[in-house]
Amino acid sequence: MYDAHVDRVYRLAYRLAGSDDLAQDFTQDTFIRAFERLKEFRGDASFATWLHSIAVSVSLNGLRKVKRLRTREAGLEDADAHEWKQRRAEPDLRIRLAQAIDALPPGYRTVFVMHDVEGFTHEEIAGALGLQPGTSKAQLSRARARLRTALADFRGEWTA
Amino acid sequence: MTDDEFENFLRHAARDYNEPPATPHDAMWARIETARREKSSSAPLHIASPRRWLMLGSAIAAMLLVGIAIGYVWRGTTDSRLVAERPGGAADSAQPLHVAAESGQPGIPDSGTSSRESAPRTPGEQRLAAVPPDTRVDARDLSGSARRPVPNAAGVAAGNQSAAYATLTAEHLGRVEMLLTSYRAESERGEVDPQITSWAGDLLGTTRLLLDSPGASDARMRKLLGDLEIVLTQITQLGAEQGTKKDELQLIDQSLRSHDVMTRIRGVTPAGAGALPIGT
Repeated sequence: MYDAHVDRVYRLAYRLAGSDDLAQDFTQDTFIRAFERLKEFRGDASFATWLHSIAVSVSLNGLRKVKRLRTREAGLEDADAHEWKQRRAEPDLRIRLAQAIDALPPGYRTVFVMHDVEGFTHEEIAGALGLQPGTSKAQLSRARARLRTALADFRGEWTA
Repeated sequence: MTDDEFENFLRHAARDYNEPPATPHDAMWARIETARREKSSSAPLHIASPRRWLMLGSAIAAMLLVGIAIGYVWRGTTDSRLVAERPGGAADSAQPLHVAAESGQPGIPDSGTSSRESAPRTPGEQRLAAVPPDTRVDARDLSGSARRPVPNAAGVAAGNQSAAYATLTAEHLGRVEMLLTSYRAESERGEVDPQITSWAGDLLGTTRLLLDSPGASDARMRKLLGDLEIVLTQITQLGAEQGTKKDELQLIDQSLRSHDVMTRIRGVTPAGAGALPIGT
């Protein structure tokens, strides 16, 4: 089970967390929970979907905790100033894109990362997040719209 | 700029977003295993796997067998005491003569005794054979010769009791030796599997039954069983607490060493333990 699924779980955790330490922690927690709850898996969905739902849940909860911790450590004003400086100092499109993805609401970001970055289908995303496939599609569409707005000043580059 | 163009750009550019390195399979698996081992050692015993059911079943069967055998030994002791206390001796030993007299064939020997013992050889015995059954006990007391089977019956009962107790004790000590060997291997790693503590609990019950048995008359054996009771209690206690404490493991090791338990078990248990009775 571990060998068959660890790559995809780790990749997803890393894409969501952006840090090797956090991704390893999330992957580890995902498999520990999966081993503990193996009896609860009834085969309604595919095993991979069930495992990915645990992975997403563990990662999002973990990120929420990390964010809370970081917010407590640094004041909100400092964070804004830091973000502004970065944006001004690094006008590169890829960095701006990464920042724009980071700034998406967690639901949009998760769907966007799973679909456009990691190549999950809407059915897989819906199974993992407990949504309808239509909801997944709608959230992806909104996420893309937000990114398009955020990257408006780079319009010339993506048409090139 | 159409939506399709933007989506194509996005898909292409987003590939670099938080691009993960190679998956550290082994490092993560090692951490997962460690975490699971820690959890299982601190969690209470769950009887879930077939192997655990088998172990539990075997332990219960062994306990039942030991209990039945001790009950058998106990009944044998009580019977032999009653026989010894009864004036005139054992009713069983008088049975062949009684049956023979009733059937009118005083010369027919009982299958359990020799013809020399049961057949009336002397005129006195011949007269005894003709005495009515109700008055036979007194008559045998008077004759003196009929009292001979009484000490034999008590001796046989005592011998059976001793052999049964010795067999059970040897089997039990064999199991305790196996447990302590497993325990020592586990404790060297600094943690004891919950199955070991559960097994120790089963063996503790049997140890107490053997200690309370009237067959436990040998002072050396009583002392050994008493020491085992202490060690097994300590091991059983490990399972009741959250996590395994190093101090407690050291305390148990100290008990094992100071009482020289393993050497004493091997001293009274024949090689191959468990199956072979001692003292036979």
